[in-house]
Amino acid sequence: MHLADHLNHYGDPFTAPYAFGGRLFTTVERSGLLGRGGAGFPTARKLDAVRRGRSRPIVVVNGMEGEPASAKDRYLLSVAPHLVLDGLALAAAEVGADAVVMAVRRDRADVVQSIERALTERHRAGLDRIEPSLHQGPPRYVGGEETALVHWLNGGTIRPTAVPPRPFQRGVSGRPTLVLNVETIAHIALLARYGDAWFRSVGLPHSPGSALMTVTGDLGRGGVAEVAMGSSLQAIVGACNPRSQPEMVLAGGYFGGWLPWESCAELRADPRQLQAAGAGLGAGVLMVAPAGSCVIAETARITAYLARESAGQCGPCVNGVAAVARDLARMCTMDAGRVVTERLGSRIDVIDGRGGCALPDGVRRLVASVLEGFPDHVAMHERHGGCRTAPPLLLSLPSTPLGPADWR
Amino acid sequence: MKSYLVRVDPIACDGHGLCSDLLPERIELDEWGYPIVDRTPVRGDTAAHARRALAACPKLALRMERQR
Amino acid sequence: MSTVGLDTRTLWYLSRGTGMVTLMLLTLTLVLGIAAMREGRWLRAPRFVVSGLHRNVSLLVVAFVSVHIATSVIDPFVGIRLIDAVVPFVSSYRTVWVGLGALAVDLLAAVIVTSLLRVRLGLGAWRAVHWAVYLIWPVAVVHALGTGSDVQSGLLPVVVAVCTAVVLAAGALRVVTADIPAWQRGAWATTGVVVMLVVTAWTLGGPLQTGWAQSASIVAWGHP
Repeated sequence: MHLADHLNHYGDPFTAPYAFGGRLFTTVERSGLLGRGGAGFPTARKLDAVRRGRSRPIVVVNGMEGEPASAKDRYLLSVAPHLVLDGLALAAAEVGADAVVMAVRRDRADVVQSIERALTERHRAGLDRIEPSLHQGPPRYVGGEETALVHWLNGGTIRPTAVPPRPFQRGVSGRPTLVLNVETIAHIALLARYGDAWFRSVGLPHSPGSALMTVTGDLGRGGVAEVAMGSSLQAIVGACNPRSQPEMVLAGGYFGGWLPWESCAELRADPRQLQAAGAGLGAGVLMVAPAGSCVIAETARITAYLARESAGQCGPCVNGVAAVARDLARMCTMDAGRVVTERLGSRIDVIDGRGGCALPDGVRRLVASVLEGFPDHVAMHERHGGCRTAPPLLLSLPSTPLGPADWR
Repeated sequence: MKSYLVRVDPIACDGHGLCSDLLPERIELDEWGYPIVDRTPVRGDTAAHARRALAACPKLALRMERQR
Repeated sequence: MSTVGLDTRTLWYLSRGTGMVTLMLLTLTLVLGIAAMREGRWLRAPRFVVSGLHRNVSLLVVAFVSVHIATSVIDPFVGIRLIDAVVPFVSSYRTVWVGLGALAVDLLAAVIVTSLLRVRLGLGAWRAVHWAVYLIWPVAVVHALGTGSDVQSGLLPVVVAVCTAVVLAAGALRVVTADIPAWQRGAWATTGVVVMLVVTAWTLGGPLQTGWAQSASIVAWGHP
């Protein structure tokens, strides 16, 4: 959307009713906005922690979107870059930042173009007091992790670092750094115009508002959709016109868990409920697998990808995720049996929580959801080393092979 | 008596395993040689052993946090 | 001034003796340090044992070098002051060779202090200073050969030769197994071999020649 249309529609961000006169923080706090990058951390608390920092903060918009199945951030940046840039300017003013940075993946040329065009428009209109700098990062799975992004912006590899200190304490150039997801910052821009009551008019008490979800699979109308928090999963999928009977859903992307379709009748877009069910909402990814899909074969591919994407810094992750991927692949050949299943179960518990980031934790959740949610299918693989059908492999894995140089 | 939590920085850790030899009360090695640290606090003599383990680590990956 | 019961001859023997032992212990420390970096168990001992031995032998080095310095300083015959043992090249007795001893002591002090404070200092600073050990050893050897009145009496050259062989072997192992690019490997190996050849040539042409003791002293106080 061009700047003129954007301003016509939304109005000037700096005189927006709920941001004017320093009201933005209260509005965000009352709204209960949670981060939309996957971690779901309360945004107001982050803002507060950063503005209390010891030196001038810096704001970073995290558009890295490392999750391969997620498209919402690049969609937002392509279609509504000004909304994101408004939010960025407002957040920067709120925490007293003197520098703002946008980080996106360098393999998203269309996104980069859209942002550059938007920045030029704003520059010509003299809209922003602080002009953002755009940084294009390596397309890695862990690239969206806060500390990894900060490390890369500081000149290092895009690998997670040890905490403490967290970015809000000491991040880019040693300054308190506010790292916010693209969608979260866009919500801030909307909150400034429409207020917290408007935001809370949809959603759940503990997870208010709406969220962008990426729904993919054998669907007639898949893609990015704006969904009220708490909406029924089956309703969300139903609205995307599935072309075949869904068998299971991967809720939360590669960082989430598998849910059998029947269980989705009671499940909603609710982070707490989904976590309790062994999955997650994460960055709002729903991958719908049709009947005849093999959950084990799909998970074997996902874990093999995650093993390749490990930052390689922590023993339990480097060794553990690869071992888990190998065992899942084994379950799809004749070389399986109870031994492998049991080994999988104990290994995922061993690697849980022992990495420098949450990658091994995600693997535990993903594999546990398979072992616990699909016991009959697992048993079939134990006995026969595979399933009856030749399953269609639906998962979109990045095809460009990445080498060691692609960590900078 | 002061009590501490023993933690390992997984990024610094290279799996040398000296910690497990020096503090078997809290540290076991997984199948790849990396430490699994028990979250039970240490105090007194065990804390002294923990401090030795901390100093012995070639990567200085072990931490002791004062428990409140 | 002579201390209780110790006449100058005894002090002189003690000084030379502890000097030789220091060199041997320094050699052992270096070998243990290299062994401590190896993966897995060494002679069936857990790794903390090897690194603990390395630490303790290095503290023995400190103990013996202290006695070596004390006896040299107390002995009235050779006019070495305490300051000559810690500030390099200010001694009037065998300036260069005693000075090298002082240099080795200074470097050793830096390595020991940083190692004792390793946890507080962090790995970066500790490792940077620790590289000095590869300088301490050859400097100590040249000090021993240059000052040593024992050079031609048979024992010291044998001790030095054996220690050199051990250090070369350990050093070769370290260079071969280190995870470094090939050019660095070559650089270390070349430097080590060149230094050894130069020192050997110098030893044969210098300290092992007759009249070395006299020419090494700027002020000769007579023969002990």
